[in-house]
Amino acid sequence: MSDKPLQFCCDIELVAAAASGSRTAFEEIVRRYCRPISQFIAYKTQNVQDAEDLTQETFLKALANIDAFDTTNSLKNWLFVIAYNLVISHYRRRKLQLTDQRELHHIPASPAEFYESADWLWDVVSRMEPDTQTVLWLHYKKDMTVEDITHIMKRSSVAVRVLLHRARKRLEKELRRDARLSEQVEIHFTGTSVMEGTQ
Amino acid sequence: MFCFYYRYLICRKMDRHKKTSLPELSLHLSRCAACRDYESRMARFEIYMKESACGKLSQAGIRQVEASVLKALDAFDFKKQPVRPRSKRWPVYAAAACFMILAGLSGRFYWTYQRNIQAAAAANDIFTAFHRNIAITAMLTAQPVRQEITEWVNDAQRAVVFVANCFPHGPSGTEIPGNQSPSTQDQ
Repeated sequence: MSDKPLQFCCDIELVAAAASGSRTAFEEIVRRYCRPISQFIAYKTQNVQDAEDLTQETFLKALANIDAFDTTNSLKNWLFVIAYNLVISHYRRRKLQLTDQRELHHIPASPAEFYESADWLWDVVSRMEPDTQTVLWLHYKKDMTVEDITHIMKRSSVAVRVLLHRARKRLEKELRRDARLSEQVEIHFTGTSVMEGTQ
Repeated sequence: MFCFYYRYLICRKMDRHKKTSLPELSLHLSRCAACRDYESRMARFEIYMKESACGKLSQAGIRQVEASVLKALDAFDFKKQPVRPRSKRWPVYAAAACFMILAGLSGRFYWTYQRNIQAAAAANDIFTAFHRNIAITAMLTAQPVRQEITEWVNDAQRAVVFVANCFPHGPSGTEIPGNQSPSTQDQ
């Protein structure tokens, strides 16, 4: 690796340095990708403790298999693949541990200082299928393309596009209903509609 | 009329699909108010989805997670990490795969060859046994037939002699030539 500071090294250089035993290079990888990975896991688990454990596990697994990293792929996507697989196994373990399926949805609340409250539309998303939630989160919050999501979730691009399309249709309907609702509330309190007010 | 197709194109554009025909779409949007409305609604929706909070980890949460990951690295021995370059492993796997395929194919050919040889030997045995059986059958049946025919011939000869002896003279009183009693022939 060249002598330039680690902050200016590209991912491939950092991976090569970490593979040859540089701790500082791997720490730089952690600093670069801890935020998106931990946010993804936290969104999926809705629990800070689980997010912490799984993020830790993700990076340790990446470190143990760093020589298996294919440099033609993106490091971020590779870490997301590991994180996604760990989340899936975490869900499976939970399902096996809990005899009562209702307990699955009763997740102990995390301290408020660690979580920002979700907007009502993302609350609607949280009631959707887990795969749909993942697709929406990766697409809208991490700005990932369909191809990236396909790679992470090991689904076909058509399947991902169908999930996105259905979710959009449903959410757009919710959004329109909310707009109508807020307009009715506006009329009730002010006597004029939002449209009239703007004109 | 084809609005559903252009709405599909709008969705493809939102998916950032590379092959979406944008000039075709913008031409349609300039003419169709309903699709324009749909597109603006979807654009608003996109912005809302991106901007609205989704219950993510706060800064404090992220800092805590990052600190715990960096702490976990202490337990990992960086010096002992074996460096196994990927590029040097694939020829070994390829050679092993080729060897397995060759071994499989040669085993299959050998097995087929052995099976053919066994089948040919079995066919030969059957053929030989068949011929031997025909020869034995012929041998067993020819002798009694020949004996039977010989007996028939002898019986026929004896019958002719008997009939000739019964009538020593012909109807006109003349002696039948060659039908003489042994005593007459001696004279």
